[in-house]
Amino acid sequence: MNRRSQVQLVETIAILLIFFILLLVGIVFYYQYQKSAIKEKGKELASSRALDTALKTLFLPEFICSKGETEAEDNCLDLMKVRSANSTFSEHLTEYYFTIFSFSNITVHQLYPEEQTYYLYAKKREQTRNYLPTFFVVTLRDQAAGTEPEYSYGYLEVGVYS
Amino acid sequence: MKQGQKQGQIQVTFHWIYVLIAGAVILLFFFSLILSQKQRSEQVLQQDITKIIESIFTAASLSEKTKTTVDTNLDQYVLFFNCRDGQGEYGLEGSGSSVQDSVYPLFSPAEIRSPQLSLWSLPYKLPFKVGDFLLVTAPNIKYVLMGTTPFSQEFLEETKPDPAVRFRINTLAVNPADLATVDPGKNQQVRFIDFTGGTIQEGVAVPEKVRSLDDPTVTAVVFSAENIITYFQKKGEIWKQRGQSLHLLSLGGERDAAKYAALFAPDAETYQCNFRKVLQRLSFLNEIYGGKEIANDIPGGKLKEIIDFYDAHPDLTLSNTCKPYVLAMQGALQSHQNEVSACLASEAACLDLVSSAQQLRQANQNLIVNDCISLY
Repeated sequence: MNRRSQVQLVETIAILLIFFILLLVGIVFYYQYQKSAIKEKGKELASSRALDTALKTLFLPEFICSKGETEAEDNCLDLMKVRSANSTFSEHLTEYYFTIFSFSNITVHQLYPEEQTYYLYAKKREQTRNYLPTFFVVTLRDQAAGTEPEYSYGYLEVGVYS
Repeated sequence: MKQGQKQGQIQVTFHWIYVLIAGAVILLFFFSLILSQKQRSEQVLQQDITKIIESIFTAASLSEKTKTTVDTNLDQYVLFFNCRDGQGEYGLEGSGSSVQDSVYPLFSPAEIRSPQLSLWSLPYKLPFKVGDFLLVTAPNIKYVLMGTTPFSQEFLEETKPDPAVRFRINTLAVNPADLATVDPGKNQQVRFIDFTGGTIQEGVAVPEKVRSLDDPTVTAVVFSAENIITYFQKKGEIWKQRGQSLHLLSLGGERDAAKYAALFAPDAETYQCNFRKVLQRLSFLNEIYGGKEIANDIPGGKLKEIIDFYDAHPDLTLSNTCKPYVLAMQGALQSHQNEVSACLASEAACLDLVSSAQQLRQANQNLIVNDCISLY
């Protein structure tokens, strides 16, 4: 009798042990799945932020080529404004422009006829893991280059740190 | 034997009780897990929806002069919009997640519950482009117009149903004498727009057929002479003024963003709050155009480059012609920046901002007409 009850006891313990092992395995699988799902979600949010920041930069009144009361030229940056934008952005970074651009890097690269780079905004995250750049081909208008406005080609780089 | 039987019976009973308790605990554990997962999924869904709405609004506001209709299928949720102390906020009511924005102006009713949203973006200029106003409404919000002015005609023309664009704002023009016939129908909200300046006043009775709607869903905006607007809300059966009357900071012209924003904003406080965002942006744009010290008549930014260009090319015929206009532009920009600072400090000082913007526009026009490098 004693032996039978002891066997039954061991049986019960074994069942419980197996149950808890299975539960633990399930928890570990769920944790791993959640970890990769969160990583994917983070990438998705970073891409969405990159696109939003790039769109905002491209249509910023601080850069666009305006023509008096008429509509602004599309995909055109006014170099005379671009040259003074950096100081304004730095001056009002914390209270204003960080809200628009967040942790990102905005640079204008002039390619033709001369190569030149204009650094407009840079705010790097302390622990940066990824840098997601977006590029837009733009024309660059410089009204102070000569008697007529001069147009050059280049691209706008908007990179987001995550 | 009897003792053994009794022991066995007790053992079996306790065995089954033990099984029942353990089973119940395990089931309870899994049920609570499922419930918490369900709640978490709901929260995540609402956060995703808020994020998507933010992206839609960002894209819509940046494409100027565009009208879009977005099928959200969110008729089971209420979208709320508010703006306080220069900080705008919108999101799904009760979700705990919202978008806060202190940069981009957004004008809409305080709450929208609709499976569709109508989005309209208009550029605001004072006198150069400061940003785009995003106007948000829904097809189940009725706009009742009283009075005939060029602006009211333009609004009716702009909001005509256009199947090609699928953009729809529910408008109705009525004679002030026929106000009692206005029926809200299945619309959730009614906004009366009084261009006569005198039909809707404090204490005047609200049209009979809209009295059954909740107070916050029946509102009015009155356009008086000289670009003054006043907001009203139904309180019981009469109109009650909401906030102070406001002066519109507008240079006039077609598709005047400041006027259209007034039609969609829920009240004076929200309108002013969103305008504060615009003024802040305008002060920074003035710095890009004229430099940080332009308020003290020290040119910088693009203006300095223009001055330096003409100083460096005295041989050019245009240099002598353009210099006086450039100096006039400097004065106009200095005045404009000072007016913006004064307006940001006190709303009472905003009235002169329109005239300084007009001065700046004239100075820029003079530069363009004389073939000089224009400021904008």
